[in-house]
Amino acid sequence: MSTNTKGLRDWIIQRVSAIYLGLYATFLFVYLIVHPDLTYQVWQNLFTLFWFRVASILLFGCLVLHTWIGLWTVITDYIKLPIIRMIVQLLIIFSLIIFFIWGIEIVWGIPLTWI
Amino acid sequence: MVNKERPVNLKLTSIHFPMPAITSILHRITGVVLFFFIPFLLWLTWYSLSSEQSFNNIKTFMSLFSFRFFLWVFISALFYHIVAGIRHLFMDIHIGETLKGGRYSAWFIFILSAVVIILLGIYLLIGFNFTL
Repeated sequence: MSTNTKGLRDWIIQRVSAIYLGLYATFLFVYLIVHPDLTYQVWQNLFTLFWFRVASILLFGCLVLHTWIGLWTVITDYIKLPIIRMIVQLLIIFSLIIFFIWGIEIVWGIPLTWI
Repeated sequence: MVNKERPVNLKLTSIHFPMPAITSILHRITGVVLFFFIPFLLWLTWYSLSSEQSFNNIKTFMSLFSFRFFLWVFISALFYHIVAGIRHLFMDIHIGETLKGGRYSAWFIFILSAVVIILLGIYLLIGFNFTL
């Protein structure tokens, strides 16, 4: 049962995370377009907002899952030697964990505003 | 005896991957490229938020060709990856999943991305301002 549902689970995670990543990217794009003369105060203020902090941490989570499923698929297709594939997979997992912690550190480093 | 009906000459210019195969491999390539961009974007986010001085430094980076080229590659890869991803999402809900539909949509996203990437290149690399 678990091996049968793993593919479906990955399939769903890949698509749900894709939609979230796309929406977040669109938001940031629109934000930068409507703020052509962005200042440090305005930019920093965005990251002090509680909802944006939650949205950003959710983004890092989606990014890690989406990247892992995508790269896993690509690696499984092209790297045939099991030992090399395993090493590359471990390197990717290691990088993604570092990126996730780093992302949270960045968002956490800024004072919080409850708005 | 030699079979005279066998194909004697392969026209190499007539052999190519179908467009859906090309857009699919590009989706994978841009995905891998975007993975390598993650640390740079995290650094950029961190640097832009660390102080007013560093935030203004990024604005100065914007005048550097190398930084603009970096942004161009990133935005191009991201745009293509998103557009090709949306195409797959449509196919998941059974829109355009026939052979014909798949070919049309593959050409559509390919041309759309090419136009956007070229225009973005003109804006970022040559410095042409599209606003009137």
